[in-house]
Parts: sequence; C-alpha cells; structure tokens
Amino acid sequence: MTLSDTTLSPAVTPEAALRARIGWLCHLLRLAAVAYAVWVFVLIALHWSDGPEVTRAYSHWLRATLTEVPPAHRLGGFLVHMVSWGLLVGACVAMWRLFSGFLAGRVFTLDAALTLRRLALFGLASEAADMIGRPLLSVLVSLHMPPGQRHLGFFFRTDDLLNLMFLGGLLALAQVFKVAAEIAEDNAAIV
Amino acid sequence: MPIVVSLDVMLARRKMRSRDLAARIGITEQNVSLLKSGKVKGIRFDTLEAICRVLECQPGDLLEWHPDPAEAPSSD
Repeated sequence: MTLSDTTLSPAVTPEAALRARIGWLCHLLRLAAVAYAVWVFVLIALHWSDGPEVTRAYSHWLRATLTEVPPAHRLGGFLVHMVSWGLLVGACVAMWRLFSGFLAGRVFTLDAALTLRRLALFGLASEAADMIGRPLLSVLVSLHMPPGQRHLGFFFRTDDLLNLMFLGGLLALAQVFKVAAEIAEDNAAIV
Repeated sequence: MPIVVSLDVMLARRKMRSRDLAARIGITEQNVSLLKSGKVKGIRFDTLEAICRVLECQPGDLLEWHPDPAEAPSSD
C-alpha cells in the first residue's frame, strides 16, 4: 500500500501529508546512518593506530601492566572490530533503505517491515559481535606478554543491555509492523 | 468469486470511459480497472454511492451474486 489510493483529492493524500510531517526526519536519519558508520570507522581506525593509547586503554581495562602492543596484534584487534563494524554497516544500510522508502511513500508495506527487521537483526548481530570480540581482544593485546601475564577478559557495560533491549524491541516492532502491512495490503484491495 | 461486478456493462450503457469515471468519483483509474475485473476484496459505501450517482444506477445494477454450484442454496 502506498497510501495514495484513496477517495481524497490528490492534493491531500495521506502519503503527501505524512511526507510533509516526517520528511525532514527521514532525511536527517539517513544522513545520521551514514555519518554514524563513518564516525565509528574513524574512531576504530584511530584507536588501533595509536600504539601507546591501545596499551594504556587495555592495561586499564584488564587491570594489568602491559608493554606496548605490537602492530601486528593491533592489526588483529582492528580486524576483530571490523567484524562488528561490518554488521553495523548492514544496519545502517537497512536504515537508509527504510527511510528512503518512507520518503517515497512506501510506508505500510511488507518490504518496509522486512527492512526494519533486517535493521534490528544486523544491529543485534553487531552488538553480539562486539561483546564476543572483547575476550578475543584481551588475548590479542596481551599475547606478546610472557605466558603468566596473558589475559582473557570479559567485559559488559550497561550500554550493552540498553542496546540489546532497544534492538530487541525494534525486532518485536518489526513483527508488529509486518502484520500491520499485511492488514494494510488487505485494506488496499478495498476500493 | 461469487460476487460479480458488472461495472463495465454499466459504463458501456452510459457511454463513459473508466478514466472519466475514476476522475469523477475520486479514485485512481487503476482501482476502477481492478473493480471492473473483480480483483478487489471489497468496495466502500462512499465509493459505491459515488459510482451510482455518476452512472445513475442502483447498486444491484453493478453487483450480482452467482453462487458456486457446490454452494447453491437448497429450495425450501
């Protein structure tokens, strides 16, 4: 359903009214999706390119005294973070597609519901990869240390639970949206 | 589909094109085409009212019920 098949005059279709209300927000969110993906990549790259900073940060996290992490291990850490970042990009692409569809008037469609679900799933996968990657990172940054001084660290933040709650809620909402889209499709067949 | 739409017959009688009917009752030509071919799940009363007003006919002139042979009612 594209919201344009109604008995209203063309000048005031629900599609046009909705776009007038949230069009600016859709544009903003599309830009935010791109900006966020780029921003996170830059932060990851800057972080792993700074040897002393990596050593300091992980010494603090592991409550250990680490010597400078070798470049090869830092590259490994960067690649571990790239897995999470790659999934994050998937979520951002889904977000771009979702709001592009809204701008084109494709609101209550099955495709929009599936895109929202894809966004939530990619987001959850990215969060999971990030959490699973932390022990791996702790091994990588301490692998150059003598055997008794290597670490395997597990670390969870309150943000992790918040993200999981938000993304899980989004996944549930996507399912509700799918049912709404199916109902809308049924209604569209009523002229 | 047991409900048969005979809008095309009425349009022919009134010598009106689908495009003109669509414009006069405020729905898309695509929807008029779907209605003519019976590929809709329903029709709103205001749409039916508009069609009857424009074509100067009754709802019964547009809609007929043709039961499936297996569902034909038994006589009392």
